[in-house]
Amino acid sequence: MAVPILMPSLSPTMTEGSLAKWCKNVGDEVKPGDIIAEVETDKATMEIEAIDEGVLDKVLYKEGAEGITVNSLIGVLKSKNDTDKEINKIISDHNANIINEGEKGLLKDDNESINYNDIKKTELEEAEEIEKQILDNENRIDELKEEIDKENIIKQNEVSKENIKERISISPLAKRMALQNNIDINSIVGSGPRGRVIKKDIDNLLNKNNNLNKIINNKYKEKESKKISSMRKVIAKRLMLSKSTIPHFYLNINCNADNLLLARKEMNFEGNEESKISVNDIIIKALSIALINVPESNCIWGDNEEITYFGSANISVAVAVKDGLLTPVIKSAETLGIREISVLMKDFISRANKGKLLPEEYEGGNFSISNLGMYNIDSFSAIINPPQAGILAIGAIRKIPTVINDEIKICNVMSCQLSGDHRVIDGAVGANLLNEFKNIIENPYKMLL
Amino acid sequence: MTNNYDLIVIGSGPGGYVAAIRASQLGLKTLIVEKNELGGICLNWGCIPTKALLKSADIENILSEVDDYGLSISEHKFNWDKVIKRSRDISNKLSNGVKFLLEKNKIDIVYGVGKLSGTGRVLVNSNSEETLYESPNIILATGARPKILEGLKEDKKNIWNYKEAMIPKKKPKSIIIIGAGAIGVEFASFYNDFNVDVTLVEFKDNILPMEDNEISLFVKSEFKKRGIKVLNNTKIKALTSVKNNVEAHLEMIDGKEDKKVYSKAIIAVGVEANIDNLGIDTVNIDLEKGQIVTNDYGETSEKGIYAIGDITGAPWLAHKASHEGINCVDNIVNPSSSEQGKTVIPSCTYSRPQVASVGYTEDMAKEKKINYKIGKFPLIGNGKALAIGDNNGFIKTIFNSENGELIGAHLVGPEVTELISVYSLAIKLEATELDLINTIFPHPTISESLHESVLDAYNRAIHI
Repeated sequence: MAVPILMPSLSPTMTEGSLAKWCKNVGDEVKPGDIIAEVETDKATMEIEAIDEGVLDKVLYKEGAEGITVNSLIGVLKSKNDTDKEINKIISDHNANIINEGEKGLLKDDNESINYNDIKKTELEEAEEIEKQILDNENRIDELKEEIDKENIIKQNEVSKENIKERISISPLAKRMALQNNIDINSIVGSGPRGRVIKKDIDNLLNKNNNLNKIINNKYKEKESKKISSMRKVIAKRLMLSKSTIPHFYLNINCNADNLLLARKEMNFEGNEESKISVNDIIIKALSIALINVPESNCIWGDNEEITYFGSANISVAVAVKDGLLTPVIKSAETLGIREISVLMKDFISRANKGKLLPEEYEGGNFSISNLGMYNIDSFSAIINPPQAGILAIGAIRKIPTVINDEIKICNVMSCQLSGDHRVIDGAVGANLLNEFKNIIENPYKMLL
Repeated sequence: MTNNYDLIVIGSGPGGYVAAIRASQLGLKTLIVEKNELGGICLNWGCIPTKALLKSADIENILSEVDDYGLSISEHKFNWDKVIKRSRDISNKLSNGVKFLLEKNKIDIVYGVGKLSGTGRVLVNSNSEETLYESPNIILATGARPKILEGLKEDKKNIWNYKEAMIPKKKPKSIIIIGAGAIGVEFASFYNDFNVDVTLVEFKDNILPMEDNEISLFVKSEFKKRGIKVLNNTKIKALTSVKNNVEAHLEMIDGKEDKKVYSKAIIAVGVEANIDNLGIDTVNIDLEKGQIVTNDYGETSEKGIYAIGDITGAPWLAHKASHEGINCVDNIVNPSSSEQGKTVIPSCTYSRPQVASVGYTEDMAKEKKINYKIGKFPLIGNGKALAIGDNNGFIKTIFNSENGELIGAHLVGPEVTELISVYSLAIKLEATELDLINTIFPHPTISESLHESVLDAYNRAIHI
């Protein structure tokens, strides 16, 4: 029996994924346990492991294909006795199209493309002036032509059918011409009725004698559009939702970090560089205890006119990675020792940077920490990570002259700002939480209690 | 009534009156100027009355064939006056219809000869009285009139233009038609059906020279079967009225000359734009070969002056004029709503057999060095055509073999003029062969052969 290879669902919220890599070529033998492909979601990269034995017979998406709906067919594993008919049946059952095997792996990232259509009219006029100037110099324009011809063609996105997923108004002929010429139809602004992409638009893109177009591209070379990653898409969507639907309020508190730094120093007295506990590890622990001690702040606004209160503190920790950020969760942090938290975080950070976090590792948090101290930021207002009710923004620890018992002392001060969802956390509750947090930070022994 | 308008349209033919109605829809205060009858040539002396005549001819033809259908009539006659009168009645009805539409849309109508008097100004001469009207937008839609070649001038008695040809008091015995374009071919078909001895003369080497060569050859052979004499590569050096007849001086391509006498002659050698006495010289409008130069929106080189329809050149078709009128007005009111670029203009000839086409001919495709595929389907393979007893014809399609674009379609046969829009729509919407192949055509219809022709281009025709 031929085996369909489907886009896996890596988490309950996942609706689509990208095909990061085919680890097998068409025609390769596959044994159970072999990695067939790598799949990417907004948060992580996952490997698809073979359960059955066979030969990778068909691939339906090229490497780099995005927006593949969960459970759609991405490939077919053929076992010994399978006929082409059976294979084709699987494909037609999944309503999919086969890509030419020869093209496999040809697909590159779309990021190189220039979006010509971003260029506005005024810029067009400017470009016309430039065109005039250039026309005076016959030699130069000839050079230009050659150069830009090449660029235009090469820089047109290489695309596959998979990229034409969203509903785009395009004539059948224009669509076919775009596919034949490797033009990404997502990047074309149509000139037909209601922006429909028509043959003329493709002709214009392919027209090597369109000097004006070339010169515009030449002048605005530095301007380019990059296709957003699925992670960026999710960040944009979630933060947009958060900032536009959650009534944020902000509370600031300064914590004296002298004791914290001392405690950390002592904790790190033994052990090597790699296993050192960070300030952040301690903050995670401190916040988790504060949340348990102020249970009315450890809650979220529910969809059904209800507020859910949590019994434990699952802390999402913002980790900056290339091109975005991830929020692995330290579950029930209040029950963990600081060393445990530290070990967990080190592992999370290392795997987050490789895109290898598992969905269950970044889901299920009920409060967040974002620390930009290491980026030299004093304080900032963070955006709540929905559906959570709060996020604590930690700034850099600074030596600041502070008045203590009517004396000016130099203290290590850490500025903390709480962003709270006012639907569930009122000012006083937030203040309680922050004061509790401050209390713990300034008296680290309380974490032992 | 003040004489200021948002738009003045000169000429109320299918270009002008449609533009005026569109303008009114968009809220423009519009004036239309007409020197003769509302509706222009098309309604009064062109498309419509000739179709009425051809319908009579069709019925006459069917009556002569009723035996094939298992019917018999003892005797059938025709009443020439009534055939002509019916055609005129229909024209009048439609002209009144245009009047009704213009009034319904609150468009002011002024009868008289309109001419430009500088930008933004139109002088209308009505019964020798001149009135000045002003508007920032003026559309010239005065159409075209029969071209007069040397030695070929109508005298209205024996030497006719299309106008005399559609209202003859008496049916002529024989007739020579000069020019085998759509008009000449339609008159040839009409007169032949009423047993007039028809000679069709064309300077070029085929009839319907604008059509695909295969189509032209097919119509020519059909005409010959019907007894129409077709003289290609033949020039008329002179036409002379001699009493109630006309003497034609013919010159063949090989230099041979001949003189023959016919009852009547019809001159149908093309048209030229009506730009005289239009006050063109009072503004700055570019002309080329006696036609007004316009862009895709009907804009002339003078701001605020527009031109649409026959006055801007070929193809001289009513539907082209109407389309240009709408696009022109749309552009005046809201440039983003108008359409730029090549338009798809079908062309129809209502002879028997009918001819309809859109896009490139095969020769044009060759000339443009397009890599093409041809599909062809004879109507003899079509059930409906057989059932109605008229399977003379075929459907030819031309595809760009590189991308499946339908670049031309050429139809000959019964009612094909009603079918061509399928292909026009396909071209306009940029359908590929797959979209046409995947479209279901109803059975039994002649339109199925449109499908088969596409299938044939990709070697998939079923009924061949």
